[in-house]
Amino acid sequence: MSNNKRNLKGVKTLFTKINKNDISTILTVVSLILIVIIFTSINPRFLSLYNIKNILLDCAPLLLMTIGVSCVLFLGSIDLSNGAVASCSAVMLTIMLPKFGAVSFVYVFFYGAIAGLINGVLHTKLKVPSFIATLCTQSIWQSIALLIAGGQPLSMTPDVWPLLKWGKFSIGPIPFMFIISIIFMGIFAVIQFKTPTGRTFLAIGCNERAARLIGLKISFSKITAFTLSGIGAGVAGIFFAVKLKSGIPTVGEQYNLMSIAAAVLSGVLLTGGKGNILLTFVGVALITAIQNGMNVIAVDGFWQKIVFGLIVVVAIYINSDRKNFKLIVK
Amino acid sequence: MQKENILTINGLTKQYPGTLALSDVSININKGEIIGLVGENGAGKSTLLKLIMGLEQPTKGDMQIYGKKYNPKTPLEANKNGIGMVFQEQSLIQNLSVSENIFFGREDSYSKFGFVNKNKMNKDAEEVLSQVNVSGIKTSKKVFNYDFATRQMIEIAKVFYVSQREDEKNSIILLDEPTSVLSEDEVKLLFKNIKKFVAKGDSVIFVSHRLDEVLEISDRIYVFKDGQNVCELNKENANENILYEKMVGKTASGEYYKLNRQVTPSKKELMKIEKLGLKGYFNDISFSLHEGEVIGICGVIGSGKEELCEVICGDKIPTSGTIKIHGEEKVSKEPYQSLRNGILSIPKERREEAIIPDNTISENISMSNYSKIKLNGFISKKKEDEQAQTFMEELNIKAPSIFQKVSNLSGGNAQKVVFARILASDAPILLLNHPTRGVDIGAKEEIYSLIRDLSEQNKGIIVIGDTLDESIGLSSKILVMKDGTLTHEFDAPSDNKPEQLDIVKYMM
Repeated sequence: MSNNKRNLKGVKTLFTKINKNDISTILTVVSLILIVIIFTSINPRFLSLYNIKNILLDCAPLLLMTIGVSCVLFLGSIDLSNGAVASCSAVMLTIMLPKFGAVSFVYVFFYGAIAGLINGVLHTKLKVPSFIATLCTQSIWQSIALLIAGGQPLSMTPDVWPLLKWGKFSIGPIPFMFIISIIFMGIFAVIQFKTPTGRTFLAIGCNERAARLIGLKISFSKITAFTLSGIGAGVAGIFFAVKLKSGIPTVGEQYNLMSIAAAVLSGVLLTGGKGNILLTFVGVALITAIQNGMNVIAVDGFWQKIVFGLIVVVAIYINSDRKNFKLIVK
Repeated sequence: MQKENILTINGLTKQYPGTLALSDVSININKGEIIGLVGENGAGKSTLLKLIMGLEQPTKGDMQIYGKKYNPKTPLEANKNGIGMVFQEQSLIQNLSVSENIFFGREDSYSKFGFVNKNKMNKDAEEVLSQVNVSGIKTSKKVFNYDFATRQMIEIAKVFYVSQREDEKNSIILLDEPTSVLSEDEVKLLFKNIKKFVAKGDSVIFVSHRLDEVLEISDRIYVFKDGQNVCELNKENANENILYEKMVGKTASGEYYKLNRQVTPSKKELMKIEKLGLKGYFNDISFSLHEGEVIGICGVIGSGKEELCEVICGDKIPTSGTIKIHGEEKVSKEPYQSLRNGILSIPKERREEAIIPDNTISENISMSNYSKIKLNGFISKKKEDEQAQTFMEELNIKAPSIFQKVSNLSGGNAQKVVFARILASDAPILLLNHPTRGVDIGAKEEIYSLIRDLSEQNKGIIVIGDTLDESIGLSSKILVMKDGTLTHEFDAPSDNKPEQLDIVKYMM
């Protein structure tokens, strides 16, 4: 009984949080509904059970990367490397699975964490602006992915297919991968709201000097945020490899921009200090719906990239606090 | 003799969502007058200045300048009408030169084919500075080379310059807390300049929390309370007690610093500072802090007292010496390590250093000590809110709810939130750097009694007062610093306080 009450209260606080969040989130929800109506009217199959399952499956890796990159955006920093880390982890998994078996998943998970950790250390200890630090690591991981894959997609050999079966599981139209990504979102949300380190993310983004003097652990929190982003990217890479049964060395490339777009659409401020992990789902849903919809109505892949570029610019424009001329330089 | 009227304000009202910041205010400013505006924080002084400068638009009411309707939309428009403002926060651009700052936005008259003639600009800037009697500034140097007080003078010179009217009629300068960062000498210089300025027929509106200054310089004083202009006093009729009474609605108590509650410090040593030094700022500082003791550090700007505080709280790393806590040597490279050792500071610049403006009151209070609100290893929102609720009532924080963002609070209430955080932190050693800076008198008294509470709880407190009087009133021991060294130590028991004059001798 009391448990029920607590749950109810949790739902309530979630709603008050949504209410307080401004225009961008509401706009995103409205556009999501509009997009669904438009695509369905062009092609009714958009809302078929089969396609919904597809959309949720597409959601999973993007959600992982978005919650990760959001942690970094909260700081007012940016992570440009998460796409390359995802590609690299997809390739690594493909190479490792035949050799090490199921434990490869764990290795790749840690690879993601370490890749994130490196970004964090470069940024906090060597004082390299995150923009440059992650641009460099992006280039490095992308090259490593291409090198170890020999410059071409690697396919999983049939003997490891049993290890990939879980990727096909689903409960009704809800894929198992999607459930995992939602669990990760829950964990990240607990970190954001319930731990001192997570609380510090937004405090740093809002006023780093004060956060330091208040006695919060600035470097540790920053490194944690980058590590979380790396974990999100690493697990997303696993999903890509399992879903496609192959390690494509460029698979995560476009997801960097998409994950930042999804975060911004959900109300995360690029200057830092504002955002909510739970709300990023809204942005992810919109981005995935647009992408899937464009596939369903057969829009050229190159056009899709133009659309995402435009979305980010428009979303940032809507979202930015124009009274406050903070620039992103961190 | 009726002087010529420059600016008339009629029934000005400003409604913000949720608060009526200014309600039906009417004042007028005559030629060559210095008008003092006093009132507690949130009384509406700053709002009035913003409306006059065109930074905000009034909800109701109108203004007239030289009999013409005046409704500025931007500060530039206000400048054109001969009204200029020196802001509380400085608006100079640090990495431009002094002359570039003075003529910022007005480079056109110095440019030929798109290139700026810097020599001419530097010369003219010297002219502008000399008009307000500021010397010793190289106009080609970048602004960041100068200390805060000098920058303030540059800014004032700039405002004097930009708000000259085209028709050469007299202008009005608004000064919002111009003296809060100035030393006494600099305040004197500033006042001399202001008097020179008004002798030419220009007028000044002067806002300050320091009543003695307002009384010294103003010809007329308007008192604000809760957004209303409650009274207008001529210089002859005003004194500190009357002003205080009108502002707060009660008479000043003689027990301003709560001397009867001053604690005689115990013999138990909390912290011992030995030969502490920070190269270029101070050196060889030694003293110890006992339980229940309040140590006041006095010194002029540049004496090293601010830096000493920054070193003790872990913001800067000392270049020599040690800090011992309970007899044990502690090394700290970050403020969080100092906090773990039991030292927490209230920094000087509240908005920049002490609060997270976008976070709620509740979140701000819990930040320095999360262990208090944890349940099963995770932060409990319920415990956090309960804690905030308790402090809100205890410290009389005026806000609609604990979920209010701190950025929406007035200075005094924001400072109380900072104090609530300090209280929640349970740190035994507290550094209070200008704890009543920019705080109104009512809240000041509450903060004084809070400091007494803290020392009764056996905490060791180091305070840098906003004024010398405050340092003396609060402390049981006073350390005087000059040029980075300790020059003298005064005992200051409640019945035998040292005289200001004696202390100043060691500061200068």
